[in-house]
Amino acid sequence: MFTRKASLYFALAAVALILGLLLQDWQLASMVLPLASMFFLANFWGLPEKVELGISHLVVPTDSFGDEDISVHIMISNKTDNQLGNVEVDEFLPGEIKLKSGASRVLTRLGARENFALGLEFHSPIRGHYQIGPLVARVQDPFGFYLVEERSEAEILSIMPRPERIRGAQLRPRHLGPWPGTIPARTLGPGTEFYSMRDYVAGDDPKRINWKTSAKHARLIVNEMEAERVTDVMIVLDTDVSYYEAAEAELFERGVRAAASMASLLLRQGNRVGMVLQGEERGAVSPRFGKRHERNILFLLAAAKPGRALLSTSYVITLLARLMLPAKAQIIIISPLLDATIANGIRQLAATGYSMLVLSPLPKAPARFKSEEEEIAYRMLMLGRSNTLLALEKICTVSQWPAGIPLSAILSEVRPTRPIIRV
Amino acid sequence: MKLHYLFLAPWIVLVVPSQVFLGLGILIVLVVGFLGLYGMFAKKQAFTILASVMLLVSLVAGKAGTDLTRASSPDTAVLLLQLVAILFFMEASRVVLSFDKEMGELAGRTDDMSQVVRCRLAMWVTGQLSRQARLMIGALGLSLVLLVLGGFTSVSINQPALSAILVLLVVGALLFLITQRREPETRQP
Repeated sequence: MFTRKASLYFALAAVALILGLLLQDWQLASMVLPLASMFFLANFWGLPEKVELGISHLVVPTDSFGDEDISVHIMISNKTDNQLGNVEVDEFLPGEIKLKSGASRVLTRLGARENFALGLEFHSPIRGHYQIGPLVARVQDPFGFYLVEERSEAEILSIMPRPERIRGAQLRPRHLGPWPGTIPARTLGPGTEFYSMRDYVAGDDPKRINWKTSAKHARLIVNEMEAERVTDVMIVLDTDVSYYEAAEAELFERGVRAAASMASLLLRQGNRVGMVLQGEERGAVSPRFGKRHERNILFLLAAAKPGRALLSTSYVITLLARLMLPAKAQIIIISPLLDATIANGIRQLAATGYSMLVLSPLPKAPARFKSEEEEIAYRMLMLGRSNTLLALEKICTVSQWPAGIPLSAILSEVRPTRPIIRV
Repeated sequence: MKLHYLFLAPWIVLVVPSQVFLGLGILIVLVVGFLGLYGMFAKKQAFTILASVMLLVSLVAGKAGTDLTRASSPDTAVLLLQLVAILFFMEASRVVLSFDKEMGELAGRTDDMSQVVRCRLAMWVTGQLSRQARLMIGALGLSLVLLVLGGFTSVSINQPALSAILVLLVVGALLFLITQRREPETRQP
């Protein structure tokens, strides 16, 4: 194809010609000749009529936890017998990415049937999805009048939050699945916790005989265990964390890490886990099992960004819980509770029998305030949050998570509470 | 290559009779020279293009002004040589600045891949400049040959009908040369 530049040269030729004719000056008109000759030579000898390029790029790895370098392997091949003198290879990279080796734009020439491999390497950027590419290869004549362009699709690089190894919280939802898990089922079955005792019957495992009690009662008595099952869990990450600029990112990232860690733990324990992102950036993953599903959840969390929600969080969580979860299942809400309206949704869900756990990352107090008004605003915000916490503590399990304390320590102290719900 | 505006600007502007530019020839030379040199040394392509476009305008306007003031015209071959020189240096400076920019981005990187890119870039700039020079010399030679052939035919352009036909012919030939084997650009962002 011919470029905009060729059109500008054409305009220059037309101006020289028209001026030459208007002024009846054949010297001016003759200035068309070099321009026409340039077009002629560039078209016929500057660029072969048939240009065929093979281009491909590969991002390795396409998803990462952000602790390794990312490589992009680019391959350009000239599939014709003509030499290409002016080839521009351009790999579009997001601004956040700073190259460690290689170059994202290369000007080169390609010999007949030549393959050119190019590699780029960069440090893993922060959590998020990044579009790598499209990879564009442009072949032009020496003046840039004519252009043949090939492009390959962009690839997505996902930097996901790394789940921390945490110990579990005591979850006691009333809905339990049929498969063995880690949640006490309030019924007899295979498990690790003592439940009751009964007389020995033929066929019982001798290891289960409680010898002390048997000696006391002069007959064989065996221990019975409480069954442990799996459940369905929906984790809601409230991304509406409008707070002080510097502390906002820390508060938000803490929430994301907690969501990733809890999802990973619950999936490892065999539960079906779903995830809801609620904020400016919304997304949901239905509850499922397994390693691949963990990737799906981490992929969703990689896209999480802080921002004000357009739809009320209460509305979203009540709607999605009913759509995605069976009745009386477990819901874990990770929210800094800076917006009091979330309490209504939690109250509604608790009233319908869902087992609720609210994990609230505690915002850090600013080191100093710019003005007295700002300090008053901060105090009012924290007062509002305390009121929300008080209201929630009556209807569900609430756990505050101050900065600098490991999540495991917080979760190990979580004890299910008996909800007092006033309807 | 970076200093070509120092000789190009005086050569283009100062050969035009001074009354054509209202005695501002020196000022134009200084402005063009400054813009061009600043663009080349500060690696700002927009300035070099502006300086080259100013030279092109000076060339065409100078020739038109010469006609209007009925001053003595330069030799046609010199005029064509000036045009070709402006175009060549404009294109060559684009190549040199692209080279400088890419080399600048690779500065400080000593890894193998960056070395490969550097070698490729050096090969590209040499090839581009030599191919541009060859095509420009070819274009100048072809123009001069066509000029001589045109001189033999002694076509008068004073006849309006003939002039109109000539314009149509030339525009048609140019369009053919541009679009032959090629389609319009549909570059995506």
